[in-house]
Amino acid sequence: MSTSAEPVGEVRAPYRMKPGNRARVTLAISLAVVLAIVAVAVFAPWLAPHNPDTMFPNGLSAAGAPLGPSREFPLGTDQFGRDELSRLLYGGRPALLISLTAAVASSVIGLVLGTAAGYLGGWVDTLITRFINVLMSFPLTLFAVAIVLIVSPRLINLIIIIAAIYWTYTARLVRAEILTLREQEFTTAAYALGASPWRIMLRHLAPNVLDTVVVRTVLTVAQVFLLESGLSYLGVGVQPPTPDWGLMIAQSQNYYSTDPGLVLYPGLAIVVTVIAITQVGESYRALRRRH
Amino acid sequence: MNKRVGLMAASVLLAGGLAACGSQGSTTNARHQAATVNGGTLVVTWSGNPQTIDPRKIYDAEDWNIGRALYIGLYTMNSRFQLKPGVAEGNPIVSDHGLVYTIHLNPKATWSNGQPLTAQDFVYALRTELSPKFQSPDTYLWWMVKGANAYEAGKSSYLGIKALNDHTLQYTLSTPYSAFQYVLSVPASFPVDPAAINRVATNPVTDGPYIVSQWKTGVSMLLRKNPHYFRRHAYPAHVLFDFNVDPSVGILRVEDGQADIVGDGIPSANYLQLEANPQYRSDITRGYLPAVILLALNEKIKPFNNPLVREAVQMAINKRHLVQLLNGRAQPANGVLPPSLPGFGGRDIPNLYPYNPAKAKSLLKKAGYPHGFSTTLGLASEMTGSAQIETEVEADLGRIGIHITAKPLPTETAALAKVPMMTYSWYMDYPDPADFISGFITSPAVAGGSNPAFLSDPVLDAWEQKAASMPQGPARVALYRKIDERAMKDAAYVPLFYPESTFFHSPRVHGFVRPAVYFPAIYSHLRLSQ
Repeated sequence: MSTSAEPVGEVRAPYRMKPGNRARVTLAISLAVVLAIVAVAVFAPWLAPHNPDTMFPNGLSAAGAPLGPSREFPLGTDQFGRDELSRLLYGGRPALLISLTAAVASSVIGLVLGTAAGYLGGWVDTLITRFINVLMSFPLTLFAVAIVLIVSPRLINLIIIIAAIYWTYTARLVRAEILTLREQEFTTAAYALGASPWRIMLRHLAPNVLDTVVVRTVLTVAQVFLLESGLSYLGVGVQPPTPDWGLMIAQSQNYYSTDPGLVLYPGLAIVVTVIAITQVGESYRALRRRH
Repeated sequence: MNKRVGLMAASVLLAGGLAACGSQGSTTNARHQAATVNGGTLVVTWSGNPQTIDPRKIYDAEDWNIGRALYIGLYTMNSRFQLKPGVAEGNPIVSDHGLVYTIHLNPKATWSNGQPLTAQDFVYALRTELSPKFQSPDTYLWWMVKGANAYEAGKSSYLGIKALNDHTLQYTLSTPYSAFQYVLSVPASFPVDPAAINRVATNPVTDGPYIVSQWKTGVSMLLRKNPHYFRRHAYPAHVLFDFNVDPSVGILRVEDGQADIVGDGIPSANYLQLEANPQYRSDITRGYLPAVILLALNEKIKPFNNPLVREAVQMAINKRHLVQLLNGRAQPANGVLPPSLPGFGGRDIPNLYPYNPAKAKSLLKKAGYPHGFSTTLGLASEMTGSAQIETEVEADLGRIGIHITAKPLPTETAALAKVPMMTYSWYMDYPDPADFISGFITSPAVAGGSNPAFLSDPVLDAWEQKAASMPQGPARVALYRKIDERAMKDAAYVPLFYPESTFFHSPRVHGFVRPAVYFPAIYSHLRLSQ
């Protein structure tokens, strides 16, 4: 019996990326995806093989059915004989425009009102907080649908309505942070030096909540993107014939069994976009926390 | 009859009933071989809700369906447009140069409560229907009855209908009208029981094959056999209408054996899928019913007050492509009168406006709109969901510079004076061209609210009055064709297509024959497999 022990191979722990690196990689990948989607939307007129609204006489079968993929129509045609790829490339434009604009607008409003409520306190705080509570007590989607039905679903109306709803989330976050910050020494010092409330809010408090606002803005973009797609799906968002992913799903949903691509392509586009934007926000937040 | 229904979600495609074409495989035969029973529950799905079951106000497709199951009028019309006596005992006795119709009622006719049905019940129904306060949408049907216009306007108490005795009814017309007997078959001519008038809109006393057993508003309505029905008894013991069921869901329910008929017709996507499946071919019925789908250009509103603009729109619409979008389940239209109307031999009037976008653009330029203009397209509620029409019109008019904002209209009549252009449809009430012309494109129809283009032409009106009083025959048909052509020269109506209907029913339904007017079937005549 040999007493000498056979050399045992070292069991190496599986490679695990450091949390900080993981967040960086996720941020890089998700940002690349988001930028690619935005680029496609911006350059759709140059990338799309056809006008997305053109109904091709040869775009339907003799029975009036959508066509499958071909050289002329790489992803086939929709039920109106329009090129599906072109509509898909254009289809992200309304949702991206609405979500980016509405998210930035809502963040600006939320930052201003949240800072004012948190720092000034008193009746200003009571008024803003109560208003936020009232707005947040409505079911979000139903509230948006109701307003859109009243004012008509134009692009500008959608942006205003969505911004008018989403600022409340940012404002609550900002107010909570300002309540903590205003008790900090640097705020007290600024006050003691005679700084005006406006100066304290603009120069000392607001910059300290910008990280929170940036993360919130990115996440709002994803949420608004979903809301816009939902509104278009319900027929109260972007109106035909404008190509829009939510609208494309709504118009083609009955073709799910004969032409699943008509539902699948815009559906996948929405999922990928929303996940990528959310990941940008989450990984940015993770990185900032570590610092 | 202008149908305000979600049926257009099924792409405008009217009910048909001819047994489906194509051979039946052995599987199909086996599916249809089960023995039929006298009883059972027939389940019909609808995407909409009935507006009313009061026959004096029945107008929409769901209402017609239910009304025909609950009531029977003086006459009934079969799938070949033939009239059969209903409550009447035989054909009317026509006298005084076609102005007086005397009708004897079947003495066996009773209400569902066992009380006898009398001529006074018909008089009461018509007098209340045409009374100014009642606001019935069906008053246009009675233009030929003497005194109807003045009575409806509240200017006279005289109306050309009277009961000579309990079983004899007499109508007096203002002008001879050879199709009057057909008018006596539509739901608006059905009787109501004055003694039970307070329940006429909820749980009425009826004279037809069924009575209402249970009605859950917005959900369903269950009918059961009328024990006092004096004509042929109904086959299904119950008919259950399920409301607010999307046609695609209805099809899934029929496939799953949970429903028997999809009342709305078959949406395009489902049609392609069902057609491709040999198992279902014999469960699909197709056929033309007289109807026309149009665009109405309001002559009172700029820029459609300019005939050149109207002609430009006429030439800009690619009707053939629109028909292709509808899976070929329609025929491009040239005029208001459908070629499938009896006497028309399937022939349309000549096409005055062939598709020519270049010429349309030059006409716009000539009219003073070289760069086009923006306008609103009202989508009549019966067209809601008819994405094909909206998409085609938007694209075609956009090509010549007319940019459209589509706007759904909650009701048709309220919006008429304000909308520059709108989608519109006219479905046959009874098989006579006068039904399309007098109630739709004449000057009186403007006042009646059913002429959304506000087309008013004294010459056309005079021709129409002459044609209506002419006896049936080729001369009358020729004059109606002339009227149609004259209306088309005005270009206020853009006829898009004559729709075809397709329906899907379960294999356990037997005796599915094409009805004469819109609805899937006469339910009491259907037999169900065990």
